[in-house]
Amino acid sequence: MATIKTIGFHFPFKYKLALSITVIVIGVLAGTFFVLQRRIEANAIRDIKIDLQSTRQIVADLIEERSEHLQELARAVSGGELMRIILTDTSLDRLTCDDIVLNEILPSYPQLSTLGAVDSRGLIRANNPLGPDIATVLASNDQLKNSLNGSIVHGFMRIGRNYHQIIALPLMIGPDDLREMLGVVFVGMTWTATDLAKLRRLSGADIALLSDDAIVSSAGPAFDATPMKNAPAASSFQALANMSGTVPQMHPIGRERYLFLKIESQAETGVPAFAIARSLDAQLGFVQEIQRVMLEFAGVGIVFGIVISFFIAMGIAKPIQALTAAARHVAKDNFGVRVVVRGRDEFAELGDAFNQMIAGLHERDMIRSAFGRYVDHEVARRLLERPEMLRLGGQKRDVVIFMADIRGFSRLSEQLTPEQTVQLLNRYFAHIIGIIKDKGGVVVDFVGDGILVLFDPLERDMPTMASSAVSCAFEMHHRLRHVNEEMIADGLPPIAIGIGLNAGPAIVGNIGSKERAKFGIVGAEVNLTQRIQGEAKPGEVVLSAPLYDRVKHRVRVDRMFTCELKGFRQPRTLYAVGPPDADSPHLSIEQSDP
Amino acid sequence: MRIALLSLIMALSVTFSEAADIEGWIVVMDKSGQSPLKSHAHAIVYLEGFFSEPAGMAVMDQQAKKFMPRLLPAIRGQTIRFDNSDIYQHTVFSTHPTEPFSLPRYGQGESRNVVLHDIGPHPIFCDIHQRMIAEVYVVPNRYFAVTDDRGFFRIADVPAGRHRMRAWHILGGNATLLVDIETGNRSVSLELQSKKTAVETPASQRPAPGGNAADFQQDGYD
Repeated sequence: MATIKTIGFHFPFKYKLALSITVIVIGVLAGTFFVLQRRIEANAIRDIKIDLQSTRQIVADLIEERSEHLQELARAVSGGELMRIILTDTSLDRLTCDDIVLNEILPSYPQLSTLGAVDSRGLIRANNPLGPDIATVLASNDQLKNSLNGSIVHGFMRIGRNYHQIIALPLMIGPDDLREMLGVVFVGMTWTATDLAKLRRLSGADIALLSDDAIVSSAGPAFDATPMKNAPAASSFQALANMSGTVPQMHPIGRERYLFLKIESQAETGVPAFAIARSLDAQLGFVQEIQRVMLEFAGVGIVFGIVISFFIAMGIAKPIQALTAAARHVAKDNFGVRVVVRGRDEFAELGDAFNQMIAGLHERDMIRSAFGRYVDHEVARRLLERPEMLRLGGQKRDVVIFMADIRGFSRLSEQLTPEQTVQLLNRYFAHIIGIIKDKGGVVVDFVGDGILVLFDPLERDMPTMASSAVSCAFEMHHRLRHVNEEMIADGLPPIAIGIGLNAGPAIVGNIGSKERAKFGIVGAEVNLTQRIQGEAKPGEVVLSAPLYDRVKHRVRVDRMFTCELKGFRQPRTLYAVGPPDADSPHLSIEQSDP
Repeated sequence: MRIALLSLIMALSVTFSEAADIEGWIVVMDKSGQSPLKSHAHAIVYLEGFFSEPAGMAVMDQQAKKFMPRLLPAIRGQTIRFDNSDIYQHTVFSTHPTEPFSLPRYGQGESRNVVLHDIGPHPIFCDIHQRMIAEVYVVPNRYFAVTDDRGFFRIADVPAGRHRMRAWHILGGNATLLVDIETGNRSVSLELQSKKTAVETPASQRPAPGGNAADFQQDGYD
């Protein structure tokens, strides 16, 4: 039968189990956190996109509100007498007009950066000398220039690092049916970094005003950190240029991930291009906090998990170890061992079952031992293995029958005390029974000093059993020499035996009644064997002709004789044989027997 | 002295010569020159080249925070009386570069007089009411006319001869035309392009009365 062996290094089960539980716990924790993190991140990105769109609307609303505010301021400024004087009194020189703007009007409107007036002919009448030059405004901004046609126009004007939101308000005068334009008043406010910072506080998004994809002014680290703030780097320039105006795009700034949205300049309103950004990592700050806490918990949990799983593994491994140890004891025929597993779980049941099994084995062993003392061990083994053999009755089959007897035992026993006689017999039988067992024979019965042995070819073929039986006989003679030396040393007389062997059909089985029976062998061949054994001289092995025919090529014939045997009508030819080598009990193996 | 003599000669010639009317139409275009104004009023047409003595007063009234009329012709040297029929006090001033004037504020029923000599438009304003504006146009003689909404004008009894006619609109559009009056009435037409931006609101599109204090005057305070 093939045996499958597993190859691996020795790693106790409890550690494997503890490690497995730990890995599973860590895996589940890590997997849960990974899935959780991905979902939270996806939600955060979605929220940021919504926020960016809201911020975009907030910026548009603020620009609109500022525009309305500027319009109110423009109306207030142009409603004053001074502005009308500037626009109608051509005798006022430019210096005076500028001074009126700077020192007479603007102190009442400190929030204005731009203040100027252009008459209906397009001539600049006044301008805040500290603010943007109206001439530049008109030259560079066609929209604002359109105000000279009587329309209220608002727009943006970039001057240096600042954007100025400007409104041009025509100053109309006259009754309702015909109001003529005295000129256009320009007022404006600066979008400073402070304004952007306020906008950032309001919306929560970083913001930058752009011009030709370069940042003019900004608020928030998303744009402060970019190298394009003062001198746009090619890559940053490219990044802004390629930025979508509709879908927010992820872009890393340093170690932080930002979602950017760029809003292109609007020709109809003059609103310049601007970009807004929100940090995804800032949004996920709480996730990082959760991650940190989870890591701490995971660290503690892993330690606890290892300890707990170790104890769990111990709980599982301990009964197994106990069972293993008990099994090893049982393998060594130590049936006194018992497994103690506390509890009421499956392991306790297994322990009970194992104990029951040990008890069963113990009982069986006791039976076998006791049985084997009175019947041959081989017979006992067979009977235990095959209970059907216990049934009465037998089988007739060819067997080899072996009988040995101590020559002159009656006379010898008279010379010895009963104790010495028993001692002599026990020593003799102890040796020869061992040889019989080794050769596969079955001790069927003891008759005084004689022994009846069966070599049953039930498990091995007949030639093999015949050789074994003959070899057994030679071995017994050979052994007896040593036994005699021992007995002489012990003050006992030496003994000699005669052995007769026969092969032929006999009935093998249980003989007796249900109450008492014995395993035995009956038939004429048994009686014949007893007669053959009677013909053997001390130290001889005498074979019947059928048996001799099976081993004749492997034995040495010392004498061949024909004799009449009691109870048998026909004379029989018998062969006294010995091993080919007189010093060795072994049969020749050079030639095979039929 | 020379001017007075010339005026006398012209007056005599008009008296003793065949006189005729000059009538015509003025179309006022907007600043772009692409569209005519809805109203072609507030344009003055007058003859240049001679002077006449003024007779009587030219009267500019102030009603409902408006100067009435919007364009007042006045012959050079003629007394211009600024009435105040409004319930509010008003001031009157002009930022004319060579002949500015300023009348301190006065109330309802009072008047102030001014005499102007510089030919051309004299814009006048009120210090108190920012929307009040009017033009006093000083003409050299009595041969002038102001257009109605349709742009029609008529200068009656123009003495025969060849005259240079000048037209001016309050939005700055102006033109000159030589007109021969030898064989009777003459009909002319002129197109003026505005130099100022303006917003016209026809009466039908204006807000309903009652929206401001001026309407109270119109409705019952006058």
